[in-house]
Amino acid sequence: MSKPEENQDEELRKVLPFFKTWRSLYIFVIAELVVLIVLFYLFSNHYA
Amino acid sequence: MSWIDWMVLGVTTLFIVAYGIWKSWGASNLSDYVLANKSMKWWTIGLSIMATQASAITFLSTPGQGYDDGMGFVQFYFGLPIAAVVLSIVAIPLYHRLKVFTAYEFLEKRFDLKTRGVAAILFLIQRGLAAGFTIYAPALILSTVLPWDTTWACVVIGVVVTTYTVLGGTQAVSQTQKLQMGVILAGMVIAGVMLVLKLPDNISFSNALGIAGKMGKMEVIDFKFDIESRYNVWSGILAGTFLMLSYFGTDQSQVQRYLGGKSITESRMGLLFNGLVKVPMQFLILLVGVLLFVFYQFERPPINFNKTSTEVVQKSQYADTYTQLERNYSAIHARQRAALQAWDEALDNNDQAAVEQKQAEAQSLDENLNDVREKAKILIAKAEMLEAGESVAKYEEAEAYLLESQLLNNANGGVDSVRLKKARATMEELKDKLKRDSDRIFLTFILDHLPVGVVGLLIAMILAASMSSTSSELNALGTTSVVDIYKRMLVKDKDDGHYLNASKGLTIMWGVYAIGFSLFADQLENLIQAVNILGSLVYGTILGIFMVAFFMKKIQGTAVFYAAILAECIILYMYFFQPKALAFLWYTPLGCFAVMIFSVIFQKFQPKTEAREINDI
Repeated sequence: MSKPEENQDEELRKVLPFFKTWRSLYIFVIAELVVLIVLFYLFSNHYA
Repeated sequence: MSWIDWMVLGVTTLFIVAYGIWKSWGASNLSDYVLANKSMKWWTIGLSIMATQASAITFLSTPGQGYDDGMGFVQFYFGLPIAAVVLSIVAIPLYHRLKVFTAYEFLEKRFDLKTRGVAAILFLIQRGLAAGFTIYAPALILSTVLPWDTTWACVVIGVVVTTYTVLGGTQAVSQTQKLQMGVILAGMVIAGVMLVLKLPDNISFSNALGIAGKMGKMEVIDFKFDIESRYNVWSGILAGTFLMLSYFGTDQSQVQRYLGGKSITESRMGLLFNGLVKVPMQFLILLVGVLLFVFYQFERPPINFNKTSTEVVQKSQYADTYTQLERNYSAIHARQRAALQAWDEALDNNDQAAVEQKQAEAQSLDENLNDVREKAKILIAKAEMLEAGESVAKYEEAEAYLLESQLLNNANGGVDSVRLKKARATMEELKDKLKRDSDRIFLTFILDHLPVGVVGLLIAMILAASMSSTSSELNALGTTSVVDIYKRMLVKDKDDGHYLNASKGLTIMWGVYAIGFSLFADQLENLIQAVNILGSLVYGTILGIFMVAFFMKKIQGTAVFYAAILAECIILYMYFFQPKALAFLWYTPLGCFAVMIFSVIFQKFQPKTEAREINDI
């Protein structure tokens, strides 16, 4: 990992300590989208 | 509205505007004015990004979309979290490192001046027109609430927004947006809770969703790949990602929000925050629309939600026919309400046969209600044409022949098929002109059914939403006009004070232009779709230029410039001459790929020069 990216990760940890790296925050954002799509699908099936 | 509502509306709006001006007073140079002196924290950026995107159109049109078409529109936003991640990785660190004022400034560093110019001009055209829509939406509300017509409402709102945007610049825009988002979120929660409370006592929240589901409003997800369908998972994820990349990565009204961040971390977190909350927020707003639909199954809605149009038809020669339609509508609605009540009871009693029978009855009656609503819209369209001095003779003739042909059919023959075909085509032409009234459904509910005080707060919410997005747009239009066009191409080498004043002057000019355009916005289709279609026509080309800049190291300015011109011509040709070939969401990826492919081709005909890559600039 490049030096500037490591500095960025360090800065992130100061603001959001439960995310160690930017990559983990990116994964969290995409995972939320996947979970929402699954929930919406179940929601559609239940009521439609 | 009562005086209490007026007070809530006035105090909320004035407080937000005054707070914004107070917090932003005293910008002494262009950097302070345009980038808020790079002092923004991530929550201010995040709320500012959300407020910029969530205009009054979002809060007027989206519940209307839920009411008419159900929940499927949420899929449009699936590309947003993906775009937020991509831009956090690629664009934000680059923009910060280059210390640019606008996204287009980066294009000159990477390519050349003409490429910067074409992207800036495409943005100015598109965003200038969109600003007109965002002024028109709240003007629509005021013209319903106040004894003003829409024209005056557009002028008053436009002048208020332009004034505080000019006085405080980016700082005023972002500070007001924090409060505006607070009012907006509180307003939507209150509206949702009030709707649930206003459902009949025996209809629970879950049963209400069940009713909506049986009426076809709860299909949130559509996995079927269909290039002509506006909203499905694939168009949301694939085409939607391109549209959102373009909007958040290259549209100055958004880029300027995170360029004001104190650091890369603050800017990234602001954008990712939006990526996390936008999809659930849109889902909840659409759900409000669906609950409105259920509410109006038990409370008789107006046959048409546009009160101004209803007044026109009631004063026309069609008044008696319209009154008759209203009586039919009331009778069918009463039968449908009874069917739904019986369906709900059958559901509670686990009587499957009765459930199916009552469900089919309610669905059939719903179709009848839609037929009556369409007939009312046809009457309104004809009445408005007569009022405007236009002839309706050909539509009257077509309607008469369609009726006659039905009688002839029943009498077994004598129908002139050519004439019948022509009559149908004429009526289709009229139906294409029918105005959608879905933008006024939520507003009608607020005004007719909510208690004193709450009405004022919700109108303040819609005004806040409109002002927040319009101010971002005017702020970005003024900035781009000065930084990319005026300072770079027209009047060079003046002092900072001169450009600060020019920025204020051009923001005023864009305010006037947006007000002018807003006066014609009611001629267009459903508002939110009109804005999205407008964006799709130019976003692909702009995104293509940026994609080439970021990822195609060997392509230089001249090739990408001509590629962008050709791609934009193709998109405009598709929209105006082949409108049914492709749903509008796909214009963005099409435009983007066209720029990338043509750039490669044109580059082959360019003399070989030293490539200027991102790392070199």
